[in-house]
Amino acid sequence: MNEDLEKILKELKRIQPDVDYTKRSRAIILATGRAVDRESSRAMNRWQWIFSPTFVLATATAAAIILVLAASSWLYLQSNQEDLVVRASELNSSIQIKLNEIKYSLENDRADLETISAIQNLLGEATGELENASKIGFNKENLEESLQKLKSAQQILIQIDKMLK
Amino acid sequence: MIDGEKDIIKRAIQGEASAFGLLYDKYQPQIYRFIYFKVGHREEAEDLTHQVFLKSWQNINDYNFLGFPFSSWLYSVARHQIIDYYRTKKVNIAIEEISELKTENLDPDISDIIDKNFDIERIKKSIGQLKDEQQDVIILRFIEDFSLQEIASILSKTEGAVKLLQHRAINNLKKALNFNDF
Repeated sequence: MNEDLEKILKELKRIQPDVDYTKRSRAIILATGRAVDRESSRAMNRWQWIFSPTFVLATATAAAIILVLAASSWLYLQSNQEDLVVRASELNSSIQIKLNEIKYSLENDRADLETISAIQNLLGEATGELENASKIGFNKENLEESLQKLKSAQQILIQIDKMLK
Repeated sequence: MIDGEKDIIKRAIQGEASAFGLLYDKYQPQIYRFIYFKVGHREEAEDLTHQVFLKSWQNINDYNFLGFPFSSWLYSVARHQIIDYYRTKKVNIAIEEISELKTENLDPDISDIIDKNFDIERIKKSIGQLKDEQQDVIILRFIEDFSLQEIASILSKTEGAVKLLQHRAINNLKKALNFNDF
């Protein structure tokens, strides 16, 4: 082969992909779960599913719904207003703990990231409603408004529950 | 082949994303170049390269170490990706202005040769005029320095068939470039 042609062809090796494109592409690919991982997930045995983020989310949501329903019923039935405030705060803390658990799950498993992210946002909204209810307080005058906030949080959690089914 | 490649591939197969990241860093530029010469468009080459590595990552379990470097498998994935691309696109793609290769970065001697006789654009166009397999041989053998054995593995041909392809590819490239005037 003509040496000059060979030299020229060797020079073409200097062609490089764009650096920004490379960084972007690399990040996207490595953040994408492998097909085999997804297959493995489907093939989980009957006990392993307990550790899946979907199950953790479902558990968290179910727990939150139970807590909100219990608190709502309790608010209607009880008259001790100081206890009502304490209970509402406890409820809010429980939701926060569940959010942290979800965050932990997200960091350790990327399956259905989009859906899980949407659920996480909804749980954030639910927490916001609970915080608002706590701020409004539970005096006789504004009890109705607080209960509306709690009900709103409850509706959001029901929505999440449906997303998980 | 990178040091400890076999182990890196094993880790990638086990799902370690950072291990596949090492393979990506090593082989992405050459796969990109290969695709770039075949499709002639920077953006199309970027999209196809991305697809090749995405598929490779998702299907790395399909790779079997048979004494050939991992890159041989990647090139096979890339070739299929390009075939699919042309099957669905069926358009004549104009060779774009070459922006990645700045002549000021070239070896001075090479720059002289190129300035006097033809530019990089012409080389690209000439490679593009070759038959697919001849393009593959020119790119892999003379740009990426692959051995005949490795090319044979990528193209699923015997070494003898690759030698024949190489001979024809060189002759046709010289003709396309009017290399006798060079």
